[in-house]
Amino acid sequence: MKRGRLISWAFFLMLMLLLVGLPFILSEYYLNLVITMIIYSLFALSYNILLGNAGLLSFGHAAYFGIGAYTSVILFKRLGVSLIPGILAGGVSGGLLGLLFGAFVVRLGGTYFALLTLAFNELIYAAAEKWRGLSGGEDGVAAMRPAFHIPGFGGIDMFPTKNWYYFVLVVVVLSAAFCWYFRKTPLGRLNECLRENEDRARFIGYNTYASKVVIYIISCFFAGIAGALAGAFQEFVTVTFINLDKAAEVLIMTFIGGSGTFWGPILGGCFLVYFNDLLSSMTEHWALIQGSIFVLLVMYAPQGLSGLIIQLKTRLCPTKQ
Amino acid sequence: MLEVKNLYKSFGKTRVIRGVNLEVSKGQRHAVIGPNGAGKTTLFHLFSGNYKPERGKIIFNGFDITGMSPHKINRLGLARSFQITNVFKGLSVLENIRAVVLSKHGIRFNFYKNVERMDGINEECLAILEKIGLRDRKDVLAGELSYGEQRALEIGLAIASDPLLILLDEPTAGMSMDETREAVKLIDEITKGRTLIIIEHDMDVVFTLADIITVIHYGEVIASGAPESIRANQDVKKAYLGKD
Amino acid sequence: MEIISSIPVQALHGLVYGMLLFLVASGLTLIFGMMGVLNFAHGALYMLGAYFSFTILQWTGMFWLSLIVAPFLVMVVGMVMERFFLRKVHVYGHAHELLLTFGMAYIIEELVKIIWGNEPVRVDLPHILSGSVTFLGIEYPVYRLFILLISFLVFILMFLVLFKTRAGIIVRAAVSNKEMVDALGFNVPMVFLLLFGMGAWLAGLAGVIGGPYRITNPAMASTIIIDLFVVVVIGGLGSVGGALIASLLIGQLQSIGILFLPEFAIVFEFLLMALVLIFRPHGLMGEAK
Repeated sequence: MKRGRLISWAFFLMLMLLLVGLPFILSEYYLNLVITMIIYSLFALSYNILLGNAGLLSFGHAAYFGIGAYTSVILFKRLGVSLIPGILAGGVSGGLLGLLFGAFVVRLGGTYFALLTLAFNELIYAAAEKWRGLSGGEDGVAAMRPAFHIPGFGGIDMFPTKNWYYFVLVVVVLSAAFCWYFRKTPLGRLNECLRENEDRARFIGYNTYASKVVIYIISCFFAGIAGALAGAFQEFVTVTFINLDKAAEVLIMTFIGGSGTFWGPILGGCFLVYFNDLLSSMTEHWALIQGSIFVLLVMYAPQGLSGLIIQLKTRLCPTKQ
Repeated sequence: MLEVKNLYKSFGKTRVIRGVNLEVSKGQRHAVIGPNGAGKTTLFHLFSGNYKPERGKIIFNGFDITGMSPHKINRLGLARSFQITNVFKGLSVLENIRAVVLSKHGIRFNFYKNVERMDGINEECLAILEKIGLRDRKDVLAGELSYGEQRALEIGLAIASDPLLILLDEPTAGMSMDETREAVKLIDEITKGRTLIIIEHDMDVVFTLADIITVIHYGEVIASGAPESIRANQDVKKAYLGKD
Repeated sequence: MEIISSIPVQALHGLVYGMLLFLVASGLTLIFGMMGVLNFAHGALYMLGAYFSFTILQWTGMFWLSLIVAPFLVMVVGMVMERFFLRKVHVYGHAHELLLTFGMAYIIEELVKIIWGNEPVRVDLPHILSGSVTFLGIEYPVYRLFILLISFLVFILMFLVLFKTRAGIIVRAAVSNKEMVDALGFNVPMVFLLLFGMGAWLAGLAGVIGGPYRITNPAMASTIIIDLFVVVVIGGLGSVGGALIASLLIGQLQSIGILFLPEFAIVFEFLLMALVLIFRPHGLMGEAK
């Protein structure tokens, strides 16, 4: 067991070193791509907090991502809010919306859950589209990326891609660390129980409804953070941040990566962003290829890429338990 | 400890429980028996809050728990096991028990402490596992346990919350003679100082464990009393149609 | 004044769209009722009907031929989907089935874009169906009346099949209780296959007649699937009668709603869907499970 943990830590450290060193290796274009990959990894991680919940497929997670984006960009633009409060506000707005919708959504399961999340997403989308005064409607809202203020130290300009990259990296690594640690906490363990057998959880004293709402809020908070980062990244937010295509995107990437492990969604997020970029430059029909891969995985590798990798690992180096 | 007054429950047009009256005093070992479909498990569902009674009252330890939700009833000190094994299959044996122990201590919404570092909790879990004989299997996934082990875990989940009243639903179902004997020993030990209501089909188990036996037939109580009186009771014999 | 006088026309538009929706939704709701699968690809099947018809029309110039042939082509696609894809995923549970149909919808949409292009295509209607007629002081396009006629005929046909034939009774029984039907000796997988095929046939037919009415383009599938979901939720998953009522309701909501509260008509639809899911998940006429 200990050897396994050492290997994991070593791997993690190497990954961190690589990530820190990337701006010196990659071109501007690819660095931007990596930033996108990192942001979407967080989005997928947040989604998996729910998916780890008895296959609760949300078709409306873009609502929280989108509202995080809108909140941060509008705050930057209208109120001149600085970077960290703006990003945090994005997360909080995601969490609040999660409370509002979650209170209703967690009562349902299966297909009904999926449909209600879809309906709520559509409602938010319509609000974003119609409420032009606030959201700019189809045109969206644009705001410049504020500088990162350290009190008493001055500001670090966030225009250079390198600076922005490090900021995003820190925010996402911290968030991911929380998500990872969450699984070891009582609430995180309860999340597993709820996935396994919600009924029994009730009989051992858990108010499963309240617990599910809290977990839902946490998931939406991080979706909001991811959205806020995305909005600040593009310095622009429109309804595409909050529409069903976006909701489908996060579903697909989490699933492709595999919902059974912690790092599956991260893999899925990175893979999808990179793959789309690669394919779209190679062929017009990249969407078809992406869709086909998705269907193949659904049919033959329901645990996603991470599941496949684990299977491969056990086959190559079988461990005796 | 438990008072059931005039309990009724229907599903659609079918009346499943018809006017059940029951009294279980503190520390008592009370067996509920009856032919299949008599409504015994339904009674457990009603006591534990899974179903809401149509009519009647259930008083537990002085509290009126009629219509209360399952988690609230559990927190008052009532725990149950299930006829069909209902454990957390994808979690380890230790995790299963830990879930109950955490709940018992009111640690339900905590998202900043590491459970693996909670020594007090872990010790408690290991003690419980020791009692049910699953300590060496603590890291095995519950779904991979043998049937007998799963039934033991099932009981473990019920007692882990240190309940005042424990409801066991056919704990020895599907067990061999040896396994049953072990199970009876286990139940005897862990229910010392607690109140027990047990549903059983195995008459040997019933007569070994029970102080009082209540016989249910078609959702009604047809007899209730000490084991010898039940053994001799003509109505009971009729209900079972000559079955032991 | 202008608005008031256009109410009857709008109501008629609403009726036409409502019936069209019903054609597609009826299959969708039955499939969900019996198989527990919400077929995300149903809108794509509708779209295929429109595009197959377009191509047949291009090759033969005969609209009536496409009206007959295209739905059967879509039926084949549907049956292939069920037999070779959906069935494999059945063991993993409903979530996976949902994901699969979602993926298939995506793929079909992309294939359509590749084969027929991104731009809308024009379907030329036969002379007899173009132009308009005047009745009761309203001038109304002939084609829309044609849609109404066909949907109505199919509706009657469906009613007869479901309620008066043995096959129909089996289907209705299977929707209610498939274990029982299985226990009675019927080949449930075959029933699934046929039902899926019928649902696809209906969607395809709706596509053939709906295409020229609602523009044939690759976005057809995603546009209609949303309305379809609203309809089956409100009507009740599994209930054909509910689907009818809900379809007509949504049809009217969109056409009359557009007149008075254009901004809110669409939002109201989702609000209704959400409210139904929250307070009465089994819809107007679905079975509470």
